[in-house]
Amino acid sequence: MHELLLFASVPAHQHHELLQQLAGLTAMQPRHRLERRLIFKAYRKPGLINTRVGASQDLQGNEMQRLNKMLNGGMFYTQVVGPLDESDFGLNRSSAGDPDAAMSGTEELPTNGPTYSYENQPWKLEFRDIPEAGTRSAVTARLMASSSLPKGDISTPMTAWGYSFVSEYVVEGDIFVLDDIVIFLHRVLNYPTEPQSHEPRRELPPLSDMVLLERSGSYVLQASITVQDGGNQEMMKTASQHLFGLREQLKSAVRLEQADRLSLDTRAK
Amino acid sequence: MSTPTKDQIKALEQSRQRLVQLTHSLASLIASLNQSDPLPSWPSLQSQATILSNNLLSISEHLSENQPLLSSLVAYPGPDFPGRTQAPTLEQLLRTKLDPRVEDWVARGRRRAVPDTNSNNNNNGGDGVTADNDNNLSEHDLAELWHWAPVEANREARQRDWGGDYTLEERQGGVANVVTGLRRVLDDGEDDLESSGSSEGEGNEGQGEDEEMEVVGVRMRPGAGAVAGGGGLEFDIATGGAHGASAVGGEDGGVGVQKVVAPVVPLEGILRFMTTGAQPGQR
Amino acid sequence: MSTTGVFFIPSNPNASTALATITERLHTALADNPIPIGRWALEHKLMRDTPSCLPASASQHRPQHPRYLQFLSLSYSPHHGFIYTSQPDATTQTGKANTPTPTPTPHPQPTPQQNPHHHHPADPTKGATLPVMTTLPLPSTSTLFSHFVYACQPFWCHRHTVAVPGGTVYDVGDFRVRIGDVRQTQPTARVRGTVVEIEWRGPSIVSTIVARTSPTASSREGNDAGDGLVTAEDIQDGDVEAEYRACAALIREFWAKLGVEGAREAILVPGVGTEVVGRLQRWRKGLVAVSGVNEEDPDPDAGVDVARQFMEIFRFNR
Repeated sequence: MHELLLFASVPAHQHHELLQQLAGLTAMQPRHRLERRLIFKAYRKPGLINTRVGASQDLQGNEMQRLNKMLNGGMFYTQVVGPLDESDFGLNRSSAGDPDAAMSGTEELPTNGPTYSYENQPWKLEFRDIPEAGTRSAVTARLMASSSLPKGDISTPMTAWGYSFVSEYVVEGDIFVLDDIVIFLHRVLNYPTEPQSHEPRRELPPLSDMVLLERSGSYVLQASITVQDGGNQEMMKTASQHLFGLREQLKSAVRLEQADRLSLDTRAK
Repeated sequence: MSTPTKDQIKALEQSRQRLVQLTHSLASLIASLNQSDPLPSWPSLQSQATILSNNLLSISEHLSENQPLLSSLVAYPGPDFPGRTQAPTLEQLLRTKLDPRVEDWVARGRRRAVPDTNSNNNNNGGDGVTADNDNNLSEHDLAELWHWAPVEANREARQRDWGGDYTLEERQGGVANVVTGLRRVLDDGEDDLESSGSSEGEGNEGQGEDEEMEVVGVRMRPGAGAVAGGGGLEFDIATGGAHGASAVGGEDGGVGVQKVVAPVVPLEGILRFMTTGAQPGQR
Repeated sequence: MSTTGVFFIPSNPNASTALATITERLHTALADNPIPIGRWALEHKLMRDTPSCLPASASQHRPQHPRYLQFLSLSYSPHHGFIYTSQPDATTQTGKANTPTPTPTPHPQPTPQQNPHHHHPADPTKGATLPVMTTLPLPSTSTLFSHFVYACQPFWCHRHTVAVPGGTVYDVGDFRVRIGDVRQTQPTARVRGTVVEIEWRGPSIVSTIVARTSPTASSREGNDAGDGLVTAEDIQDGDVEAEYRACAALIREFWAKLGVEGAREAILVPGVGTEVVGRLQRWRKGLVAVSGVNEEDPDPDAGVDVARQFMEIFRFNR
């Protein structure tokens, strides 16, 4: 699968207005979204890289070459993303009239206290390659893969698969959908404290304690289209056209553009 | 040590036969439970149970009759025993203790038997001490309970109106008095039972909000222009997003005074952080 | 989930497989008549850590114990595929007497009667560095596989893909037997042998536990085994272990009756029964309902034991 993207930076003061403009444009209510994002990095044991391509008798030369090429192949950062609900965060003040209670119907009594259950946290692996080089068109295009992962403790399988946990943060924002374009207006929240151990947190602090990564409170607007068959140039071109269309429509509000390729560099060195 | 006499061998052979019988009866019960569809009828199950209990009875009688013999017998392998190929059988025969698994069974059976005898004693005492555990309900009590429950449940159910958010009782007592714990106002579904003034007001407000949210961009609210409102307001639109996010938003509410603030961290820095976790400014 | 055993009879690339023999014996060597009840299929992909694929002479850093990453899908586990991964410090997981050790030149396992299992059965509940068993919806397993092939070349190398494209399922008395020819589809197409899965479907503690703790408690298994009299306190962890051993004996006996030589066996493989013991422990604590049932997959644990057995079998030759 491929992903085509455009980005824009949205200052905090413009956020409310843009939210309304997007709602008008897409004729839909914003879909609020909170996500835990864990960053994992592929690791390799030191010392394994410098294998000698010697005059080996054991394996045929081309097999040897292939393996050696593989050993020196690319390694990547990858993300593990889990949806959150506001009620997953810890509470620091009484919130008896939680708006969620009204949505979940009458069967449940509103519960107090943090309800986050790490054991039941669903996860997805979200892999993104470094964006393709050579700016054929003015959009960011990259290979992507998305896959369900088991619930709960994700570091055990990830470690076994060769990834080590780097860090984590929370993304909050709103999603709109316009035809095949997914528009995500979001910003990054950091955890207020350093984790005790170097692995994903099992508890979440109150949402209000989360710290903005960008202190002025600005947002990132991301417009993306996924293309199932990235090799199909026709499809890729059509998708780019759609993104350019959106860029025109939003021209007076924000400047959507291609991202700096190296800022989306997922290669692990 | 002497070789066993004919009688003794006969006693042993009888034990074996009775045990074989018991395993057969058990096997046939299991088979009939597993295979027959529909399940075997009660009479057939009962007759099998009777057979089993007779088997057990005869074994127990037989064992106690021959207790002196059986407890004095010692097995040892003769020279012509095929020990090499029949090692597991040999091990079984030479065991002096029960198999650990069987030992557990026995222990568990004993444990379970204890409370039963106790409660029997209590009942025999005649003081009507009923067990605090429904395991100890007698067959008869259980049957009675089952007989009673569906009728009673049905009767209770008929007394209720299942259509709305409130029960008939709650309506009669006044809907306003019901503590639902919800901020949302429930539609009581009956015009003649209008809710009290305060909750009605809230209800309208709630509906008004809904309507407002349909027409995005027209939304105006007193205080929207006020400086500090910026943070909280935007999240009122995002359904379900009000609570914590507005608290976070409060942080930029302060900054919002300047009205136009350029982001401190460039877009590249944010994207880089999201991709690799590298803190902006220290790449 | 029930107790199973997997047997594999390797064959030479151009020779005929043992399939015909086994099918014939199934009909002649047993008291019960086999009833064909359907078809089955599987696919298995083996990855191995790239450094360990190098010849020993090429790298002094070649790890002593290769690590494996295996993907398995079974047609009778339609809700998920299985991923089985060696732990990073994989020094203890294979190579013990318990399992057929994957070696470059596979020796046929000794016949079941002489198998060391009898006297040193694998403990199904313990093990510090057992491989990680993961189940995921099928589309996700194939996405993950592609991901590893693309983005993890320095540490995962795809060695082979084998498949049983069309096997046959028989019911024989209390057993269910799945047999089929194993074909390698990558890197080169060839026949690898015949695989036989024997499932014990008679009464067992394991099926009772599974039925009682299953998120879908009204499944067929539940009616078979839920006798309503057993409580969690009646079953000790050790009983489960003993049960696995007892069923293993039944399965070996069944297999021995077929009289097929040269098979490799996987029954009491490391980690077998882990989920069942876990469920029993939850049950004892009164947590019968697994919270947050996944709509995509009613029971993520289903089939993990048989998957482990297949994984042991298919770790051959690379």
